[in-house]
Amino acid sequence: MKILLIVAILTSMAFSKVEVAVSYKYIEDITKNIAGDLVEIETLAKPKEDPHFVMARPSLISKLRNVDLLILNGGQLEIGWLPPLIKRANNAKIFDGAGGFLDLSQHINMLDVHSSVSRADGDVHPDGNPHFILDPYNVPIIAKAIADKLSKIDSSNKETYQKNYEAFTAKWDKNLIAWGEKMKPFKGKKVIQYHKSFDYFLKRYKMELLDTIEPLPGISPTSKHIMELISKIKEEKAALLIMHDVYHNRKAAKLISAKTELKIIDVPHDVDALQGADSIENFYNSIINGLTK
Amino acid sequence: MQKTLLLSMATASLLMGGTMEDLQQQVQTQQQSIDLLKNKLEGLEQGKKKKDSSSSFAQKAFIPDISLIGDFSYVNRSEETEHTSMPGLTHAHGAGDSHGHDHAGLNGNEGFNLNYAELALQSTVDPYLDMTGIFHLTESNFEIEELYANSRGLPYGLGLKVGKFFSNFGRLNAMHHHVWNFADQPLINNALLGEHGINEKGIALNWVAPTPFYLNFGVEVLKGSNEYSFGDAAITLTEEVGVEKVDAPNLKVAYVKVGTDIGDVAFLGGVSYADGKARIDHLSDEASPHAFAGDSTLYGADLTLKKPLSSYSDITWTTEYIKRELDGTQYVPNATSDAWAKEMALTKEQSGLYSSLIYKMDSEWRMGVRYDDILKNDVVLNGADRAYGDDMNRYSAMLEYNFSEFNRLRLQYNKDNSKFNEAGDKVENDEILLQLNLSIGSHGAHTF
Repeated sequence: MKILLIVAILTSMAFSKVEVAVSYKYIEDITKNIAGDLVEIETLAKPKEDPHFVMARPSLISKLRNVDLLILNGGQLEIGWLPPLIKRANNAKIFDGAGGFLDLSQHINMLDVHSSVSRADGDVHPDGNPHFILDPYNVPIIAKAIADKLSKIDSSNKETYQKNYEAFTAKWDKNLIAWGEKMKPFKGKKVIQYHKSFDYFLKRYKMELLDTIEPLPGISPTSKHIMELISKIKEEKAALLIMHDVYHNRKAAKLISAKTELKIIDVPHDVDALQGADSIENFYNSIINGLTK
Repeated sequence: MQKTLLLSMATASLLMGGTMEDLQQQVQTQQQSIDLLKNKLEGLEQGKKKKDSSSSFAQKAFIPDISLIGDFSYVNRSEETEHTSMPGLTHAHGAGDSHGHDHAGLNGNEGFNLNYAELALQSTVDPYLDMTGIFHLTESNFEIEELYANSRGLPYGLGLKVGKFFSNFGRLNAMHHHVWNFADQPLINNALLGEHGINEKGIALNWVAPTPFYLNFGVEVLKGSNEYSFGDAAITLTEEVGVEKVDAPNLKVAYVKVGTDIGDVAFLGGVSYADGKARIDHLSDEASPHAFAGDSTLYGADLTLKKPLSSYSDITWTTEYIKRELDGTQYVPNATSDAWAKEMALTKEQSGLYSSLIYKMDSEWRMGVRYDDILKNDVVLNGADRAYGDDMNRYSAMLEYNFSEFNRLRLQYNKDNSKFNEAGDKVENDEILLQLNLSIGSHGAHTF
């Protein structure tokens, strides 16, 4: 009888946990900072994958079937893989507009918001550049959105979520100051990147984008574009860097590096994309250490 | 920092011979001009908003997602296909056949083909439903290929679909042509279901089980008017003799799909079942008019394995098997009188499969091979085995270049050993297809 009671209590405890699915690892880490053990999190994309192209595995449908909340990056970063998974999961809580649907991009001031778009400019995101997690100043905004959403869904733990949020942002403010100091020498430096993945980081620390290795978003590098880029680099007087994500083909970057002696710096796009970038805090540490080392 | 600033300011004011009061006044004036500018800016922004009042009733924000897909091909065949068929499975497409379609099918003509334009509209109806309309346009035809509503808020993992749609039977049936890996349909799908597959009006209910792996059960109740394996129309043989129409609904489909990850390999498998009455009315054919009425059952099994190599590269292996059991009466008119000369028992037990291996090399290049085979083709008419045989197969290979996600050029080669001419001799056909598929508008996601 006692055992039965314990089992009943345990299962009810298990059930009382809020089940959350998130598209990317960085959302998992921020959510953990806010919710601790109060939630159980399933992460859909693998951190080393291109966030635009995630294989719509059937196993991901079962991950969405039971969750109370889905938190996504938004800004059309998941447009190529997530919508059919949501549709097939038959989970009324997480349809767009339902209570258990949180699109983080809605809370962010996005860069490159286009009032008119054409695919002649490549595979552009009309809602703006969705790689906003690269700006550490966006993290408190995201944390607030997550804390508020969890407080709504799981109101009995509202105080814990808000308390954790306060503690997290207090710590975060200190980080921001430290990172700002470390990044000071990089002001005005010009950067080459594969895709417009790191624009938010560049803008925050007053660095500039010289050009991308892909000629247009989603279009693979052409030899003509690479040659133009190399001569552009040679003409450039400011200090230059190649910041490369972990998932795109490095062939073009290596060619540029060989012709111009620029170093390729690995930059994570998500928590766990690089070794050492194992938390949201270490994600920025890893980027900044990569640059300053 | 602040101290230095203050100090320098103080020194500057001393040098200028001014006092602290002067400085304060200056700051105040600055502040006033800032506030002034702010007000101006707000006014300007409000003005901007006011301009929009002329479009108070504009509903642009509610425009559904729209996309248009165009499919073109250039075809070269070593043999003409008009008078060849797969005996017991398909008919030759002679003039005057009543196959329902008056347009040539996919890649039907030698040379240039405009296969179709597909116009898709999709949006949310209200908090309860989404609606999708997919219109299949050929040069002179407008077809509502799909028009259905999906539930958004059913509990317990249930999903409901109402309207006209592709059945979830098997693997390929629910997929639109532009997401197929080859320019044409597998032999067995084409023979048993025709180019449009099981595309019916009805209701579909599916349930995603709360299991740690993907487990999906579905049942569909459909009109059942697929002219290849199912039919519900009455057949008039003479004024007195005929076959009554089938009580609606005619077709019932059920399926189970299972998906999981084996290491990093994604797996999806399914078994499907479809059962209904068959009605084939080819009485107006010039060559050999006939009609058929009976029972038809389909069994399907499919398996897909996908191994990722990078974000842009993967290998996919798909195999699908379909079997048909047909049991009924064949009617053949008497050429000389109105009386029905022949009313014969006909049974068919037929099966086949396709298996394909696709290698996606990077964002641009994909290549693949496919093997089609008819495994069984037992046709017994009036107790006599027609001995058509199952010696029918096809080898295909394709290479595709994607200029972008919206622009695909595909070269395909088929070695088709599945067709026979009217004399009963096999006609081996070498086919080369060059297919161009373009899409504009909203971005369709990549399903598994």
